[in-house]
Formats: sequence, C-alpha cells, structure tokens
Amino acid sequence: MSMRLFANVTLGLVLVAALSGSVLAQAPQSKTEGVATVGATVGSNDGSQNRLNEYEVAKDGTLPSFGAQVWGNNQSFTFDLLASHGGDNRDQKYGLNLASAGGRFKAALTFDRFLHRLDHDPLDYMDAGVGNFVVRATDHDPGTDYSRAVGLLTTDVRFAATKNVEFFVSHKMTLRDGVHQGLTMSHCANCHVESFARKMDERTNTLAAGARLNAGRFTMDYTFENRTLTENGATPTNTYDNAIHPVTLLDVFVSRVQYDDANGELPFDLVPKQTKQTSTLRAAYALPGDGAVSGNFTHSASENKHAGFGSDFTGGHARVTFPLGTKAYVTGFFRKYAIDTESVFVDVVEQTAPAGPAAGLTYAQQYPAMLPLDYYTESALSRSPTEMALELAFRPGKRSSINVGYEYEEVSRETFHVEKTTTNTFKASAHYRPGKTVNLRARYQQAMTSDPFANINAAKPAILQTVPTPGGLPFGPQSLQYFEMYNSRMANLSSVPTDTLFVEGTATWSPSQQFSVSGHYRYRDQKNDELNYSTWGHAMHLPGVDVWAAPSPRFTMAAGWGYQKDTLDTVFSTLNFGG
Amino acid sequence: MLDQAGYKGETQNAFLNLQFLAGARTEVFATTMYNSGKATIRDFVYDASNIIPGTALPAGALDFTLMSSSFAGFSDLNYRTIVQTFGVNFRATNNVLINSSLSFGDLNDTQPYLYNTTGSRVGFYAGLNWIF
Repeated sequence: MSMRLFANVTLGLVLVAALSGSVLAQAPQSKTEGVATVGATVGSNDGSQNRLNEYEVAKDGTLPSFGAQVWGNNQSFTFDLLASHGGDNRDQKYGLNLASAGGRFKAALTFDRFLHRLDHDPLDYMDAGVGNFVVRATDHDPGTDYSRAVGLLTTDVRFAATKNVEFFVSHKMTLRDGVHQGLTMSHCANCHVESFARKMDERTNTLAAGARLNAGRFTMDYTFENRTLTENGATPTNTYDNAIHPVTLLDVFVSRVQYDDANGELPFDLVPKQTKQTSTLRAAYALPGDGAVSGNFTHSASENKHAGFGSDFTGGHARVTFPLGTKAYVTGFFRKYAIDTESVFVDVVEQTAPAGPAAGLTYAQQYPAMLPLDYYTESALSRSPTEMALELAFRPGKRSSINVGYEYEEVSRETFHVEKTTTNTFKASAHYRPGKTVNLRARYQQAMTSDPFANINAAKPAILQTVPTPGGLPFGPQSLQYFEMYNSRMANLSSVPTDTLFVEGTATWSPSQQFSVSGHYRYRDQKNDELNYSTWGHAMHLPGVDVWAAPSPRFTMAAGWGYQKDTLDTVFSTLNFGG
Repeated sequence: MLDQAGYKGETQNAFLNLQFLAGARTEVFATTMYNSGKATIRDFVYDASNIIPGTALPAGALDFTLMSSSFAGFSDLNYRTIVQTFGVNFRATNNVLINSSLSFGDLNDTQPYLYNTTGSRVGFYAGLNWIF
C-alpha cells in the first residue's frame, strides 16, 4: 500500500533485466528497450493517515496509475527516460539521462512531486486558568487537514572540453505549496493563542556552476553556487487583543507590551526572502608512493533580505596521507573556519500606560532598574572552530586491520557566555576475520570536553518575595517584577556533554552461501557533571540482528530486528509566580 | 522551581521478507514491517518544600501534586505500526508481466500527542507491464 508506482516499475525492471540479460551500458548497437505499466490502486482508509501515510497520497477510493521507462542508444548517444504518475498530481516522477560524445557530455533532468501531510494542532487542551488568569485558544480553521505538495526539479549538465578540463552547471528547484497551521499569541490580559490557515507558495532556487582541472597527479575544481528562497504566499496578519490588567481588566497594562489592538493588523509567520552565495575551491595532489595531499577553501555569505542582516562563513581544511612502511598509513587533518553572524540593534517599542499608577509613563520610566531595554542581538552561531586530527591505519595481516586516532577541537566565541570550548577525542577501531565464515568489527571512541557550550544563569531565580503583594497589585515599588526574577537566575543549563563514551561491536557469521546472520550492539554514554545546580546525561543502547537465508533456489528469507533505548537525565525548571 | 528528572524513549523495528518462486513464471512475496515507539518523562516530582515555606497561601497558589502528575504526562508517546503486504508477479509471456499486491497498514496511537493519529488503510494494486 505504501509503495508508489515507481516501486512497481522498478520491480518489473529487475525481472526484465534478470531474464533478458540486457544492460544499457553494455549495448553495443543501436537499441531501444523499455517497459510500460498501467495499473490501478484501490484503497480504503480509516482514521488519520498523517503518520501512517505522511508522504503518500493513499486516497480513499480508486486511483489509476501509469508508468514507463525507456532506455537505449543510437550509437551517438545513450538515453534513459522514466515517467510515472500515480493518478494524483501530488504523485509524479520523471527522469531523463543523456550521454554522448563518448561520455564527454552528460545531462540529467529529474522531477519528483509528492504529498506531505502536516499536523493541525486542535489547541483543545488550553482552556484553563484561575479567575481572570486564563490560557485560551481560538482555531479560526477547525477540523481542516493541512498538507503541502513538494516538488523537486534538478538539472545537471557536464561537458569535458578536453581530457583535462570539465565544465559543469546544475540547477535545483524545490517547490512547496499548500496550507499549514500559522500560530500567534496575544499577551495580557490572558495568553490567547490563535490559529490560522497559512497558505504557502515557497520556492528555493539553487544554481551552481564550475570547472574541474585534471593534470596527472594534480586535480582542482572551483564551484560557485547561488541560492534564493522566496515565499510568494501572502504573509498573514492578526489584530492582537487589548493589553489589559489580568485581574482588574483595566486598560492600564499597555506599557508592558510592544503592541496590542491599537496597532491594528500586524504580520506574523513571515518567511523572509533569503539568499546565499558560496564559493568553493578544492585541490588534491597524489604523492609518489600512495600518499596524497588535499585541501579546500570555502566562503559563503547569506542574507535575510527582509530584515537586512546576514551571516558569513570562511574556512578551509587540509589533509595529508602517507604510507609508513608497507602495512601502515598515517593521515593528518587540519580544519579552521569562522562563522560571523551580524548583530542587529533591537529598538524596543516603549508604549506609555494610558491610565493607572503608571499613567503617562513607559515601563522603563516606571521601573528604571530594568534599563537598558534596547540591545544588540549576539548570535550563538558566531564562532571560530579549529580542528586537528591524526590517524594511524595498520594492517598486521590479510585478515585484520587496526585504526587509532586522536582529534582536537577548539571552539572560540566572542559574543556568548562560553568563550572557548575544547574537546579531546581518542578513537580506535579494529576488523578481524578469524576464519572464512566469521567477520568481526569493533569501534571505540572517548571524548572529553572542557567548558561545553551552556546557557549561563538560565534558570532557578532567587526567592525574592515570600508573601503576596498587598492587594495583589503589581504597581507598587514593593511589587516584584518579572525582570527582577529573570535577572536573579542562578542555574547554568546545557545539553552538551563533558564526557562521551561510544563503543560498537558487529559480528557476522556466514557458514554457507545460503545463510548469514549478523548482530550488532552500539552503546553511547554522555554526561555533563560540571553544571552548578544539576547534572545532564544521555545514554543510548542499540542492539540489532539481521538474518538472511535461502534454503532452496526457489525460496529466500530476510529478517531483522532493531531496538533503541534512550535515557535522558536533565533538569526541569519552571518560574513560580503567583500573580 | 527546579527538579532533576528524565526522559526515556524506546523504539523497536522488525521486518520479515519472504520470496518464493512458485513456478517458472510466478513469484510470490510477502513483507511484514513492525515498528513501536514509546517515550515518557520519568522521575518528575516538584517538591513544594524547596519553594516558599510558611506562607499563608500555597506557594504561588499552585498545586504541586497536580503539576507534577500533569506535567509528567505531557510528553508521553506510544505508537505501534504494522504494515503487511502480499504480492504476486506473473510473467504471462516474454513481454507481459502482471503484478498485484494487497497491503494492510495499521497505526495505533495510544497516547495521543496534540491529536490522535490512529489510522489504518487497506490497499490493493494490480498492474500490467509491457516489456519491449
């Protein structure tokens, strides 16, 4: 049921190939072969299909389907064409491969369109509260099934101008159109979540071009890529609720929000136009005696065209491999890159309260201790990592190999709490075949990290007020404010480990050509015990078994089982605030 | 409020593929796929004693027992999926292949998160392939 028409065509082709022995690449003379398919699917659905058939049309009823694949050559070029249509325009696949001039010219074109079912949160679990403190929701499009159609169009053309120089150009377009759930929320007098149907018409265009030079031991290529994301669906708008005092419902709280109903319709769920240009230069040189040197340099610049800020990536790596005697290789690796994301000045809108104790004042004028309000964003993405690695590969015999390695990583940040994180990693792996029927593999890795990335003072505010404010009013100088609790937080939070251990073992037994059984077990344990108020840990166990048997030439069987258990230990923190 | 707690997730996947050549022109096959996934918050108990002792009202006017029991269930997940397919491929002539398959899929969502995704589908496909 979940197989698409393509799978049926492929199955037919496998049988055709097996029976006819005809393979495209081996065709010596002009020849055209193919298969055409016509069929129908009848289906009956019950309940939700959002998980069971998330990416399938799976219509309740009957759908015709058509498919064809044609391949061959006419002595000047070879071709391979594929087309399939599953009876719904969200189930299509087409492909074209051409090669000519003795393989010096190659072109490929593919288009695939499929359905993606999307969630629709009914928001029916929210209506709760005490008195006027209410969390509520309004779904303006209840009961609608949301989905989108995803189209992927790719074009790839390569031309070898000489035996040393090849030019290539490619284009990739991703189209996403449909409707998804757009959510927005009003604050004060209560938390009011509103859900709207958000039309999407999104397009990502990626155009890449470059050249490759092959001169004996030396190869080099350069690629320039330009990517643009555009959303053509209208940005939805919402008029937010009037910001009023949550207990008295008086209109005295506007100074605590940046916008409310007085601002009219405001956009939400905005998808900005984004661009990215990337240049990549790669080179490699084959050293005499099986050694090699390679490296690359990459620079990219991405920009949010709506907000007018962006991010730059500049980096490169180098790798050298050389033999050590006749049974060993040594590989050295060095990589350094920098990501620089622009800081943006955020000018906080400061409204004045229309009435009440703070009438005519902004929030900062009422509570100067909160200043400054305006700030620059400082992205945690901005960082400068440096990586180094050394690996020794050793083959003591024909049936065994051993790899050992060491890696060092340093991540520096200028604009976040943790200025520098360093990680030392030790790795080892081995492969051994004690006999013709048994194959054994093992892998071990241990990493130790100093000052892992963390959010400093992210949770656990101090107990600042033990008795309720008289009258429950938040305006007096003795009334505790949210920003005071926020500023008093003491606990550091992190989900990055200080210690990581990973081990893996695989054993395969193949006593005959008719039977094979393989078992594997993976274990990973991560922990961070350097946090000041909590510990963090994540353990994973992953055993599995695969069996293949062919007791007779007419019967084959394959079976497998896999299990994964993840255990996370962390801290839960909630602000305790009684109004 | 701060509490050391945890989250546990378990998934299992299994498959069985059988293929039988019933004659010179007929292939019969069956595939079974099974998946289950469970996840839950564990050891989650907010302790009121570490908040504000000795106040006239419960700390923050909050019911810690209710919070602990309800918060712990927010992220519970329990899915089980079975997909069973039976198929026959019959080569009628050297140029004509007939294939058909009957599939049954069933997903059981016993701990709905946001909404209930329980669903099933029965599907039958029949096709005619002309090889040239």
